[in-house]
Parts: sequence; C-alpha cells; structure tokens
Amino acid sequence: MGDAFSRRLAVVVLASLSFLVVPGLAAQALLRVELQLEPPHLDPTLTASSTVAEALHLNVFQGLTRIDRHGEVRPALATHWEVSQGGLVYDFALRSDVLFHHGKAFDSGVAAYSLRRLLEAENGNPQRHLFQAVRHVEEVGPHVLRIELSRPDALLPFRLALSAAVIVHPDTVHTNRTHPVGTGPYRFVGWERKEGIRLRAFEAYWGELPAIREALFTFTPNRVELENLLSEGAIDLYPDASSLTAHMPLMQRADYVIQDGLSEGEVLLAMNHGRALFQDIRVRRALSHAVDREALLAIYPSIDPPLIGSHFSPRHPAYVDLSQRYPHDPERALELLTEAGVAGKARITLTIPPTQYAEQSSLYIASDLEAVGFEVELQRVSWGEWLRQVFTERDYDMTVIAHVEPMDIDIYARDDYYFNYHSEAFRELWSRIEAQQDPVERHRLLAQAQRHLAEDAVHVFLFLKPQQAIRKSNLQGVWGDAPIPAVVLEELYWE
Amino acid sequence: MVPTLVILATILLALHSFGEYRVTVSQLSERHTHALMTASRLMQQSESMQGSGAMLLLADDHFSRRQALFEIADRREWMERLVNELAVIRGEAGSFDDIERVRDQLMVSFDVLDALVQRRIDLVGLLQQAPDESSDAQLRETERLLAQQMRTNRSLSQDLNVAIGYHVSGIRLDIRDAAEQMEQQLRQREHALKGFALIAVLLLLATAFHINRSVVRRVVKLQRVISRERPAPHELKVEGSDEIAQMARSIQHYVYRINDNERRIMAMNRELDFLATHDALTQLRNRHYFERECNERRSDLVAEHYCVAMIDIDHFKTINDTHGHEAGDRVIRRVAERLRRGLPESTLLARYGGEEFVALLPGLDIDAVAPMLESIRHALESHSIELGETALRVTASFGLAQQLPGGEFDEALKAADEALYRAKRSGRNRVMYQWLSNDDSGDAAYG
Repeated sequence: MGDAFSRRLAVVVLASLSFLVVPGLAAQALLRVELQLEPPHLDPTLTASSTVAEALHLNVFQGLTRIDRHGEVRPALATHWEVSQGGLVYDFALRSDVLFHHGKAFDSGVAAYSLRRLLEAENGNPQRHLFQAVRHVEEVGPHVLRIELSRPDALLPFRLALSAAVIVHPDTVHTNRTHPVGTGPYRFVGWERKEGIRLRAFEAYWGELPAIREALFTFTPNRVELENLLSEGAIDLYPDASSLTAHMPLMQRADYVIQDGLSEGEVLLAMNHGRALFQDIRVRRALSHAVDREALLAIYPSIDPPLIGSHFSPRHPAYVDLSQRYPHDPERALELLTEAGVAGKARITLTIPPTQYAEQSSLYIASDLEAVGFEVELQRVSWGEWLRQVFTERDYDMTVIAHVEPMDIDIYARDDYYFNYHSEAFRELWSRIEAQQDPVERHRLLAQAQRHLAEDAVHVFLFLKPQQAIRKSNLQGVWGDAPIPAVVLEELYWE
Repeated sequence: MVPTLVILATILLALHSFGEYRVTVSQLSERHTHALMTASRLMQQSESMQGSGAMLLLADDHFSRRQALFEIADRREWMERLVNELAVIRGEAGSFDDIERVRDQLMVSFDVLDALVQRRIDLVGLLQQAPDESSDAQLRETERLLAQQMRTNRSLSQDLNVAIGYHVSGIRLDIRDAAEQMEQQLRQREHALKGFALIAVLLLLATAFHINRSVVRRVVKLQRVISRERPAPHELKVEGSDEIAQMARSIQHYVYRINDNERRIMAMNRELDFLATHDALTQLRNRHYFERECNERRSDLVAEHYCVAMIDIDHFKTINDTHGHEAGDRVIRRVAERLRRGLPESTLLARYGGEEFVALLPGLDIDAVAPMLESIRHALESHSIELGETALRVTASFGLAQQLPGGEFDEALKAADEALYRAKRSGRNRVMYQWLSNDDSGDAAYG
C-alpha cells in the first residue's frame, strides 16, 4: 500500500501545486495590443471602420483567401482555385478540416451563404461594390465553390481576401456584432467597454496553434493617457505609433522597439462635396495650395512618409506621382478664393476623429487655412461620433482621415459615399477599368483615374500613412508594412 | 486511515491556504496597485496641467495655442475618468466634491486663459501690421489679466493637488491596513497549520507505536515460536481478529495437525515394529527377533553363563486335527502364557516354530532354571483347557541346556534342542537338561 499510496499522494500534491504555478505563466502569455479607435461593433461585414478588421480579421474571421505581410494573395479557407471560361468562372477548392468556433463545420454551403449575404444590398456590406462582377455563386461539391462573373475580374481572389468578405456562419450572423464567431486561430472571449476585446487561441483550429495564447485589444483615444500607458510599459504592441509626441523618448527605451513601415492608407483632408463651398473647384484647388504638406510631415518625428497627390498608393505599379500638382502656395490659394468670391468670408469646421495623425495634422491644417483667410473651428469627436456624424450622416465640412483599405480608388465612383462626390466621368472611367483585362491598358486607365481626382482636387491628398509599430523588444513577428488593416496575432511570438 | 486523512487534510489546508492567499494577495495587489496607479496618474496629470497651462500662456500663435488646448482637453478628459475610477475604488471613504469643484474651476480658468491668449495673439498680429496706441494699451491690459489668471490657475492647480493628495494618503493607509490585516490572518492560519502538523506528527508516532504493538511484536513472537524445533501449539497464542490473528490461528491448526500426524506415524511405526519382532498369536517375540537378538548379544553371551530352553507342545498335531485350528491356537496361547508367567523378567522368550518355543535365560544356571521349567510343566499338566464341553489336557516337553563362559550360543541351542529331543523320546511331558563344558558333558532328566 505504501508505495502506491505515496505515488498517488505525490500526484495529488503536484497537481494542486500546478494550480498555484500555472496562472503566473498564463499572465505572461497575455498580449496587449493597443488600437486606439474603439470599434462600433465586432462584425467586419457590416462596417467600414478598419479597427474592427484590425482586431478580428485573420484572428477570429478568415476569408477564402488572405493577404500576407508583403501584400500578396495567399490561400486561406480555399486551398487553391482554377479560372476558366476566359476568366468568367472561378472554382475554389475548400479546406475540409475547418470548424467554426461554435463547433459547426465549414463547407461550400456555408461559403456560398456568406458570399450571397455579402452580395445582397440590404445586408449593408461596406465592400459590396467590389463584388459587382459576381453574377452567381454555386456549390459544386461539398468542398468546391464556383463563382461566376458577368465580366472578368482578375482581382477577385484579392477582393475575397478583404475583411468584409470573411466567411460567417448562418447560425451566428445575427450575433456577430457582439459575439463574433469565425474559423480563425482565435476565438472571441469577451468585450468589455472599459477593458477591451479578449481573444484566446482556438484549440480546434485547422492550422497550427499560435504561440500567443491570449490577447487583449484595448482602445485608448486619449493621447495623454496612451502615452502614459506606453511609458508605464502596459502596452505590448501599438501598430500605429507614428505620430505620438512621446515617440522619441520611447525610442530610447530598451524594452520597446519602433518598427518602420507603411500602410496602404491615403491620408486625406476630405471635404464634403455636399457643402456649397466645396462644389467650387477653385475653392478646392485653393485648399490644396493652402496646405503645406511638407511642413505637415513634422508630425512624424522619425519617418518621412511619401506625399501623395491623388487617392493611390505609391507602392502600386500603376502609381503616378501627382504630389506636386498643387505646390504649397498661399498666394495662389488667396487668388483662387478671391476669384471664387469667398476670400476672408468662409468658415470651416474641421471634424477630427480621435487618431493621433488626425489630431496632429489638424493643428497644422488649421493654421494653414487661417493663413489664407478661413475661419477654422476644430471639432474633436469620438470614433463613434465620427462614424455616425461624418461617415453615415455626412454632416461635416472637412475631416482628416486615412483610407486604409488597399486599392480603394473605386470609392469615388460610388454615389452613396460620404464624400458626396458625384462625377459621371469618373464613374464611366471606373467601369472601363473594371472591365479591362489587359494589365498595361488597365494601368494606363488607373493613371488616368488618379489624374482625374487630382485635377478635380476632390480632396487635399496629404500623404501615405506610415505604419510605425511600437512593440516590446522581445515581441517578434509584427508586420513591417500594413498592406491591409490587420494585427495578425497568429504570426506573433515572444522571444 | 485516520493519520492518512489528517495528513491529507493538512496538505489540503496548506494548499487551500496557499491558493487563498495567492488570490487574496493578487487581488489586493491588483486593487491597490490599480488604486495607487490611478491616484498617482491623477496626481501626475494634475501637476502636468500646470505645464500645459504654461504652454498655453507661452503660445504666440494659434497653432501652439490649439496644441496646448488639445493637451489640456486630453488631460481634463482623462482626469475626469481617473476621478471616477478613484471614486469607485475609494467608495464612501471620502468626498470627491473637492476634487470635482476645483477641477471645474480650473477648467473655467483655462477657458479664461485661452480667451486671453487668443486676444493677445490677435493683438500682437494687429500691432505687427499697424502699431496703434489703443491696441498697445489693450495688449498691456491683456498681459496683466493673463498674469493674474495664471496666478489663479496656479493656485487652483495646487488646491487640486492637495485634494488628490488627501486620497493618495487615504489609499496608502488602506494599503497599510490591508497588509496588517492580511499578516494577522496569515499568522492565524500559520498557527492552525502548525497545530495540524503537530497533530499529524503525533498521530504518525501513535500509529507507528500501534503498528509496533499490534503487528511487529506479534509477528516476531509468532516467528520465534514457529522457529523452535517442536513448536507448542498452545504457545501460538493469538488475540483479536486481524490478519495476524488469522494467520497465527492457521499456523496453530497446522502445528496441531503436524503433531497429530507425527503421533499417528509413531504409533504406526511402533505397531509395525511390534509386528516385525513379535508373534501375532502369542504376543511373544518371534524367531527372527530371537535370532537377531542372540546374534547381537553374542559377545556378551560368551562372557557369562546362561541357559537355553526349547519347549515343544506334546501331540499338537492331534489336537489340531481333533479339535481344529482354533483349539490349536488356544493351546499355543495358553502354553505361551504359562511360559511368560513362569519365567523371570530377564528371559528372552520367543515362539520358535509352530508349537515350539525357545527361551534364553541369562545369568542363570540349570539349578535355578530347571525348577522353573518343572513348575511350568506341572502347571500345564494340572490345568486342563476348556474346549466347549470337553476339557483338554495339554502337556509339553522341555529341553534345557546351560552354557558356561567361553561356549558358543549355537552350541547351547543345539544342546537344548537335543535335550528336547531326548525328552520327547523319553515319553514327553518332562524336562531334560544338559550341562555343557569342555571336559564334562552329559545330560539328565528332571521330572
């Protein structure tokens, strides 16, 4: 009895001791990621707010394809695809070993449901317009999905990799806003407004189980508080630290590393074309001349992001450099304003979302606009207020905002967009671009589209948003550039 | 069983205590760290507010002014949340009215300061474009008001620091109290654990003692008894009803059985031995024994004198034929009986053949033995044997020889046989004897 009993006792004691030890280890495994903008809800198929994608895309939700850290399209829930009938038919072979976080299996039925839901206008998917070429979605077999197009669209695999095209399950579409359920390596644990969004590694994930077992996404719009949290070492990763005032002192610290990179985000001084003032192209061009974009870059103390002159990424092969189309020229601006008859009379409210780049830029912009005779009011709003007032209700004069989705120049072809920009010529141009299969011709048309927006001075196009991540020095795997808004937890690990 | 339970209970209590204190400590440290962090952040923000105020005061364009205002607004918003958090942490432990009142006054003061700075920037701009006296006077007045407002601002900031400081000190006291309380609880639990450990040790000792008494000693005793050559079953004394008692009882039964079997085997051996050396009918020694015995004693016999007698029942065949074997057997038994009774203890008497007997009488001479044989003969002759209705008279013939020292036994036996022969031939029912010597040999009849 003695031996067997002491063995059993030892097991009991060790098991009990392990309870005392394990929580300590678990605490170290928690990764805190700061995203600044509090998401309006947690369903990326229902909002254009990129902060939802940053927290959940590729973590909780996955699409048939995905974009990697270099901006390349890769297989995700589809292992491969075949294109036939002159680019009109795509057959996607789907993984057969995928489970949703609520235990249901993924198959062609679920994939077809998800895509049909995306295509239906009443579901309000923010990227539905990107899928206008899709004519029909069909399950060919349990794990083969066919997408038929009305016209060839070489970008379909790329579009399917965007955050609004993630695969959702019919059981949970109505609760994803508060309790997202996907197929990704992390399952949703909870979202407390004060604490943040908590994700934990999904044990039944089809891929390799990630090194980071638990992550907390927090949202701290207050710059003072955010800088304080960083200086206290409470944040492990802040992917968008570019314009922090505390940036330089943090660079001196051994426990933090600042990683340079660029996003696909075009930062705009966007104007509401629904306002009479901005319907006059002379006013718009005056604004473009008034803003000293070179000086504005002072908000980035340690990086020099490229200036832009249109809504297009300099990293794209079809890019045309139009950054000098409206050089900083306050006198020319005054002339144009005088011509338009608004010099010294106009009053502009600049609505500022709670991002560092917007707040910092707005100070320079306000001074620049005042210098050419505008009376400027700065209106700071919360992210929720911005989404409601500017994005949804379009009740604003001007705002500073980054459009981080890649290749989204098509938004100028949309009638329902918050810019209130309606250009028949651009719409016609865009439909030609979409139909064009020849890459050379397509690039030529894209260049034309960029010029169109620049000539029309639709907005004051500022610069490509840098993506300087600040991370703990032993946290590895953080994306350098941000080709899409996503914090891919799966690729992170502690060294 | 009981000590095991106590030890287990002690371990569980210890583990439970550890777990409990881990949770308590982590909760306490988390709560107090949070409280301290909140208070110190609040303190820091309140102090930094003066710096932001200075930034605002020094702003010589709207850019710097707005930058300072952004910072002030951020600090204010965060301070508001920090005060709310502190109110939750501190609960009823003090009023936050002071903080809120001073903070609101400070914000109003900043608004005034901002308006003054804005006016100063505009006036400086105007003066730079076209200097005029009224603007200059206005600027001086603004500067004066600004200095005054800055003093107000500074005093409000100090008030705020004092109000927050009150709570910071309150939190520090809370932490000290909590630490003391926890230490006290820890001490109590430590005592309880020590007590348990002591009980466990005592119980262990008691158990060891009990095991020694109830198991070890009994087993050792049992082992000692068993290891003797002839364990006595009554010494395998066992009490109680445990495994040891059962085992001892089994051993006892086993020893009983061994002893019993041994006795039976001995008895059987004795019987076999008897059967091998005795005649079944007469219970006298048999011829085989007699010869072996005489052979073994041969050297002794050479040294002394002795007599050998041969006895044969007269007309035995007739008795057998007339009265049957049963009657013959009775006759043989009667003769044997007479011989046993009539000869001394030291006589080696055996049935030598069917109706023939032999006797070795050591240390006796013919003069001593002849009368004994004669009286036997006479007794036989004078007492008839009852066989149903007839009475049978039985006689026997006796041959006696005496050997002197130095003579051979076989010689004596042969002489006795010859004497018997002579007795038969001389008419039976008599004793004939013969002396044996180197120089003198001869026989005589007696009776």
